Amino acid sequence: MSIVEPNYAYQRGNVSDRLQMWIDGVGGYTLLLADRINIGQAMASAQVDIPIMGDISRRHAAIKRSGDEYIVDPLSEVKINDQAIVGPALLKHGNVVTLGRGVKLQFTQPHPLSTSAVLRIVSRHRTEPACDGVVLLADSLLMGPKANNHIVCPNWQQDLVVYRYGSRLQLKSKTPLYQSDSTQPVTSIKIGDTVQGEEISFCLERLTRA
Amino acid sequence: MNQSAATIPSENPGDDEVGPAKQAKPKESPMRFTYKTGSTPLDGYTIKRGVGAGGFGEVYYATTDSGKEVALKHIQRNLEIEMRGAKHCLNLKHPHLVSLYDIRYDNEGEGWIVMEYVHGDSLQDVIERHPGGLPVQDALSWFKAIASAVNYLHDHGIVHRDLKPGNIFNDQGTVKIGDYGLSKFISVSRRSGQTESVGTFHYMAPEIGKGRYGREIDVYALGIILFEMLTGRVPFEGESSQEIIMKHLTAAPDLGDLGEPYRSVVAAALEKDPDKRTSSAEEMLQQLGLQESDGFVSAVVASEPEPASQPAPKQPQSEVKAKVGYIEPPAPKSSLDDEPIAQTVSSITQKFSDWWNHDNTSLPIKVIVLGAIAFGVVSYLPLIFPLVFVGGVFYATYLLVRQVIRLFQDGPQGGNAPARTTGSSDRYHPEAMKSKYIASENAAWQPRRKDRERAALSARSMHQRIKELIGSLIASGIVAVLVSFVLMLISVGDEAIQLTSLVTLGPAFIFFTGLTVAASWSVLIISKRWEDQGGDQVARRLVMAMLGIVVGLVAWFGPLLLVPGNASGTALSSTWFNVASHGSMGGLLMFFGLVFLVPRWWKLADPLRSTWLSIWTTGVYVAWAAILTTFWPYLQPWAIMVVGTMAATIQLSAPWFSQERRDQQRRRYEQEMKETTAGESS
Repeated sequence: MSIVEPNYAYQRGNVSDRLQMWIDGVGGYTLLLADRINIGQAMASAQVDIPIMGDISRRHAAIKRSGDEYIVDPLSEVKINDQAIVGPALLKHGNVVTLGRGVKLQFTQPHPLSTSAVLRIVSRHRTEPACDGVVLLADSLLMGPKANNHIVCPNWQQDLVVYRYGSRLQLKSKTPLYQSDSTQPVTSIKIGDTVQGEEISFCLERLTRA
Repeated sequence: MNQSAATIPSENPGDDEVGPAKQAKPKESPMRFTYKTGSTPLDGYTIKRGVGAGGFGEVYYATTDSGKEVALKHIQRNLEIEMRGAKHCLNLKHPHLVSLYDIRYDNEGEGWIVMEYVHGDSLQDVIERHPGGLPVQDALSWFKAIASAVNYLHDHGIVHRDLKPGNIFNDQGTVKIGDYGLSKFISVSRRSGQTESVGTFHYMAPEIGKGRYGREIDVYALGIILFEMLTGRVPFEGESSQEIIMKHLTAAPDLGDLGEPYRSVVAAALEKDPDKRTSSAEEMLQQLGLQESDGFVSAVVASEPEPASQPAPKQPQSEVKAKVGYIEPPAPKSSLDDEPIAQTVSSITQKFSDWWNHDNTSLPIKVIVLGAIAFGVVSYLPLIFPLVFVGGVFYATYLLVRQVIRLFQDGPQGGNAPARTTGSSDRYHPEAMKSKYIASENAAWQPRRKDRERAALSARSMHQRIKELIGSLIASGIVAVLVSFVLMLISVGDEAIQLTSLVTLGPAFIFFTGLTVAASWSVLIISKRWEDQGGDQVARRLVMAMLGIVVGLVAWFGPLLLVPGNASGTALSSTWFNVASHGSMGGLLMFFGLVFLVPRWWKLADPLRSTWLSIWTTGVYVAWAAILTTFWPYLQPWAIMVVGTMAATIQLSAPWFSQERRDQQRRRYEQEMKETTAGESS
């Protein structure tokens, strides 16, 4: 029995649950806001949340967030730490998920106080469009120089927290950050507009499905 | 992203510990990028994010309208040179080189280099994750790829010149080397970004300071990189760029951690003398028992004649030198070789001895000449002796001053003094580049205003500095006379203006003034040497104390000289001050030694001191002298006065830059730095 409805991802219609975060000097990260996400091959007809250019099925696996935990549901051949799984399995910090012949994703939940998790491709594959990591955004996204942040920003002097507030994304930072022409520091992030501060500069873009 | 699972476990919570390489990195300044996400400065390319900034400008990650990912390098400085360099490399192809796609200009005429975007970690990141060194097999596979690409560049007549782990990437399993074909003196600027750090100096071959940029510098960098991959640290570490450069020049690397054959391979690659170093990247590969990697199609290529896989022909030395713009350092000259007075004297002596030894010169004439000379010397002895003595003293002083000036000019011999900006070609003189380099680096390190101002000082021309020095020497003479006279007036009243005072006060006045001039000249000359850099205070104090001892000697011998035959010096005792009871020589030496040891005398002559003449500072010096005289009471009060006079004289005569002038100089210097950071393009 599958715990994930196969067509859920593209049935939602409103796709603001997939965002690309471009961070100057750091990288590009995909933020996924849904509680269930699909992983599959990157091709025009397959609408999945994490499209990977790899030798995998159109919809290869799904990951569901349940409370503080993440459960992977294999829709095709999936291994966790090289152990094949046949049914839903719990993901733990540091697990490497192998899809098909060798697409490897590492799952991390770096911060004990945040449920959000990060998936990184550790094989020679890439998502389409490319990104440096996929954040499964539960409550908050922690960014900063230390390794226990979801997105490690080595050159930053301070931390930044992006968190969900209703249907909006808000941010918390020690130094004020600004957007467009506003002289008021940002609290609620506008999509498609660069957020800039003393040392921080990033932009959230809506990702359209391939 | 890394291909091998071995490099994964860096994400553990609390795993934010870093290796030595990271600790050596300066706190990097925030990065701000000109272009935001979504901007399209070039037709067809949409900028996604800033990646980093180098001396040449900013680098962005962008995609084309059809989705091709590229890196866009915005060339903001040295446009012509950079573009020429990039154009030269535009069609180079190697699996381990970052490809250049195109060179474009935007609507504002600014240049962009469109190139391959490399995903993944740099070698620097990888090394930081392995503080104890990479596994040997990993290190060798990295090295094989790096050396192959470097060899390819060398085969095409290009020297990379900036090989370092920050420029080498693992793009999904393929090693890629970037940043070739760019002029290299730019990779350190005050604008610090991802690809710059003090690390740049860790890979710099010693001969770069001499302006020699042959293939050998890449081999040297390869040696350092190999060492770093195997051990997790660089062989020459240091707190400052100067320290690191000094180690590259002089220190022998400690290769104890390496096993064979790596130890001897690295040792041969780190040879200080480029001519003794391993000659090519390929040779290094052979020493390690590795084959050059030609990428994925090596089997096909191997069947064809491949110039890259043959030993590079040894080029004649001179041609190599000509190619790389090698500049022979001038042979060190003895101080007398080109000194005009010595030359004149020696040429007269030569002429005389020629005449003397000439066959035509008859014996009687020689006898008459000898007799005349002997008679003259004996009868005018009282006159000749002081003349020779005075002449000798003057000549010695002259030689000393000359020597000091030469020290300024011969930067390399004299240490890291700045050098002239004259070069044989239109290129910047490599030494000048070096000092600018260091200065700019300093500015990057401690961007405090004062440090930047000081960095600006070092950029002044030699000529200007000598002019300043001579000016202040003359000024100090005049000031010393005036200040001493004022002091005398104050302490003796109108007696000083009477004619009789010439006899009673004259010698004392001369002594007082002479001592002041001697002290202030030496402080001025030494401080001039120190003014463009901060330095070790202890060492400076010791030098100053030494100088104080010399001043003490002068103070002791002074009265003897001024009044020969009257050592008790009655003439020097007056109502003004009593030098007569000047006590033991030891006391004087101790007194002046301590006077010069404790306060920082060179600060008085610093052009960046806060005020031209600080009454407060002078007061401190006087107070210090007063405290000291309690141990040698017989020095009161004249010694206190003389110290005060010295302090005031030095301040009054040393150049002082107003804040306005400092800003102006600093701005001009920083502007120059931006414009002239390019040495040349390859």
